[in-house]
Amino acid sequence: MILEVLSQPSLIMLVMLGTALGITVGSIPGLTGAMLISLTLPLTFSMDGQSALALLVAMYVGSVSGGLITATLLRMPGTPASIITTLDGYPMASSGRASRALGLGIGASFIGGLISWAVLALVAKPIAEFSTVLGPWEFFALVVMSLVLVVGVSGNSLPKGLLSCFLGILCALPGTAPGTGELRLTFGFSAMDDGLKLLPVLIGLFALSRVFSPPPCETSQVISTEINGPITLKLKEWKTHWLNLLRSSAIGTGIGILPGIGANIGSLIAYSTSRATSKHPEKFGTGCDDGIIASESANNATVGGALVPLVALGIPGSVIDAILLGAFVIHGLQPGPMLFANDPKIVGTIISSYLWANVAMLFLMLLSARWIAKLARIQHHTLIPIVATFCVLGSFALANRYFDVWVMISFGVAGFLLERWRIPLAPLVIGFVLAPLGEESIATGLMSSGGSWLPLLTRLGSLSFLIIAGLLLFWSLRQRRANSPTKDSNSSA
Amino acid sequence: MFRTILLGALFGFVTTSCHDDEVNSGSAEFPRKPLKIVVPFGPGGDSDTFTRIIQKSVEDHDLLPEPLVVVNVPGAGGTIGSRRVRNAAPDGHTILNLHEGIFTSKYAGRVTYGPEAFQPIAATAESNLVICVRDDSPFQQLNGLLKAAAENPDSILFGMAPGTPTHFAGRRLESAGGETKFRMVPSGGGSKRRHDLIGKHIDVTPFSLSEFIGFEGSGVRAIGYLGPERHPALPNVPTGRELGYNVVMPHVHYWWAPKSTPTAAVERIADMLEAAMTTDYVREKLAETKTAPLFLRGNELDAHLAAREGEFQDIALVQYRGLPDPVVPMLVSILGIGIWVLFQASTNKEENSDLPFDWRHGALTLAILSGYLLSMQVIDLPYPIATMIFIPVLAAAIGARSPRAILKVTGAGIAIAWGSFFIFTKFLVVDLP
Repeated sequence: MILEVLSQPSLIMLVMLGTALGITVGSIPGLTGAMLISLTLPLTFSMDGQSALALLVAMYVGSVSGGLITATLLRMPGTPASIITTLDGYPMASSGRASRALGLGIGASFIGGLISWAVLALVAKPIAEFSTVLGPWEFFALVVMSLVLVVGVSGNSLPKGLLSCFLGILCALPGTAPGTGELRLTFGFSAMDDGLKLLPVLIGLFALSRVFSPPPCETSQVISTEINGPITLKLKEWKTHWLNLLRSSAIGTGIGILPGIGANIGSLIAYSTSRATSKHPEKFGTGCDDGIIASESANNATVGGALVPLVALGIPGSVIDAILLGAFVIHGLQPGPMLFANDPKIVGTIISSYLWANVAMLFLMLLSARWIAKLARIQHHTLIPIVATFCVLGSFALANRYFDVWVMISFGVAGFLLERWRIPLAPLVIGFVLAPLGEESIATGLMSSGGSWLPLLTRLGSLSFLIIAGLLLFWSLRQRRANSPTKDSNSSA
Repeated sequence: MFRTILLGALFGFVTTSCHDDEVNSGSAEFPRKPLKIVVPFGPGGDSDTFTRIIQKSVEDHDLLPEPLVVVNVPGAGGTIGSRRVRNAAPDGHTILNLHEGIFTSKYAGRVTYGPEAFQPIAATAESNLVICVRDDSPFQQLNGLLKAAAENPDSILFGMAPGTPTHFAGRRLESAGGETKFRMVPSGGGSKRRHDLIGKHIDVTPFSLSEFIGFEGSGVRAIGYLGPERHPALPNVPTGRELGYNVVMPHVHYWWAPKSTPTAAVERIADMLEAAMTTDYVREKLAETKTAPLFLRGNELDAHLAAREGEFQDIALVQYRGLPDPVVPMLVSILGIGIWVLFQASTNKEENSDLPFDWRHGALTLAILSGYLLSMQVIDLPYPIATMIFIPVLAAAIGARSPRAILKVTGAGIAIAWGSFFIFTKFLVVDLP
């Protein structure tokens, strides 16, 4: 579980390489870890299974971590996992404390990774066994809870958050309806049969929308977040945050274990829990330590959490896990509960490369954040055409078709307009991702109950998720009311 | 050359079906260029894995003078990829690997065409479905299960993925068992169904044999095998036929070319596949997943396909009623909340005191970007050339004024255009124009 990677120099090299590539790709908005890993997968055919999985797991860790650099410095989350980091990372960086913000983010990522590694290594099997208790009703309640959370946490106006969330759900509806398998809202275009894909939507909303924005004025560089001074992690500073770190990493790990709910939800729930339990909830969103720590420790922790069901049961805990599952099959490994018994070496390699990728991430990020941040200092007119090219390339590469590129451009325009109207983007994305899961779950639930909605309230799991959702909504509304007179001028998430 | 441009009035989406530039399909020598194999599923899936195993063995044994290129075109149960091959130039340089999905998507009503829209090349590798229950289930064999489903119709929860062979298998078991009725639950893919089975959210579900081998010993028990005879890996599991239910549900990888592809090309590809199927590497890989090394071509293949089509065509998939339709409620909510937001904005004037902002910049960028895409999509300009032009043009449009800046951006454009072209087409096998 620890030493497998160190036993072979080639594995050490692959973990370093994977982490470095992951960080680079993760930090470039529009390029995501899922894309890197799915594009790398064909390259691993000539390798053996151990090397391939070490490389891919390291890329996963790197890509979830790398996003924090651009999220902090540019308010452009490099990956969706870092959307929540923009809420506090960017305000802190733009108030002249960029290196502190990065230091906090990197340190929290590392600790989040370590804690979830411990969970992965120790309790993978028992925890995954427990997850079978969650059925369709519980998943539906979880989706409702997550949507309530995301609407509650983002933006400064409840109707705008709601509008964004509903728009996201609407965008997820075209294509094949889960449950019935019928086509809907395709307007007769066969290219719409599979609906709108996540990757072009994300690239459009978060990367291309920047391409449409007017160049920053000469006098006030919009991106005025220079790294000032060395990025360091002072041990005594962390002492005040241990509770937050532990809680957020635990939340991240727990969310990661649940199938289909990824790093973005993990960081969101950790962030809002942190805010709900904080003594100074009003500081969240203005650049406070706790916000960065909660988001970054949780999103890294989801990676380890998501590996738990993957390794123990062959069930992907996230989008990237689904690609890793493909890597298992390609390399002749049968994913499932027998993996522990049949291929202990592979399980060991996955868990161990997760640990060492986190270590490599810590050092690489501390050394290279400054360099990666230079992407921000490239002149606008040089950077924008390159970003635009990669947006086109990335959305085309997804399925080798132009349709996705046009979807990406449409969402670029939409993202640009929504930002102008100060409608937060996070609920839209989360609604878009979770709507299919929620609809699928409720369809499965209703068909197994024969059309009755009652199990949603009679089953302990779903009822408790709904109650938690209600409580969190109540909390965030109360806090919103408490803060509302002063926060109007703040921009959206 | 077949090319359609559909202009979506509502969203302005533009789609094209095909970018193959080959016109003369009758030409004698084959292959003249790399063979594109469209896998209509994402990387890492069962179809993708099998195709790449074949690809590797073809390359290792030099079974074809030109390389094979695997192109993943996932989506909508394989129909996006199958449609692309259907509309491709019928010259044998673009072929499709698609299993029973070709029948199920037709008979589930997802698309209007089935195998008749293609020229079949070969059938390769076969495995069958295993009907499974939980370890603590009262059902020991398939007949007990079907009797119970007849006595208490609509009470046994049958997990399946809608419109796939698992769904058809359930419906065929029902009709084989007489007055039986399961309650069909759209549970999803294999590992999702296992999760739901163990968690008691469904009572019975089919798995592919390789899935079942992976799940064995984790609380899942096989009660019937939907193959023609017992499988050596499951000597104690009776087949449906033994128990009196004539239900066989094989999983076979079929290879298809566009309709009216020259016979010479089809035969050449079939030769290549036949040779690949006998290599040790392919045999080994198939043995790992308990897959039989079936190979059919020519008349045998036609008979097999006709028989398989019969398995699917008379089965009515139940139309579900009572599921909530989210479209109208969503539109109403968006309208309602939109009005709320507008109302708030009009009563809350100071929030709208934005800087005056330049619409022209965004419009210009959008126009250049659209021009870039259309030049590749419609005029068939090669990607590196289009990109080399696009990068400096956009840079100049958004503020690069000095000759030095433009020179710098042009250099970057050339480097990025060719660098990304090289990496994506050579290493990452993306089908760039």
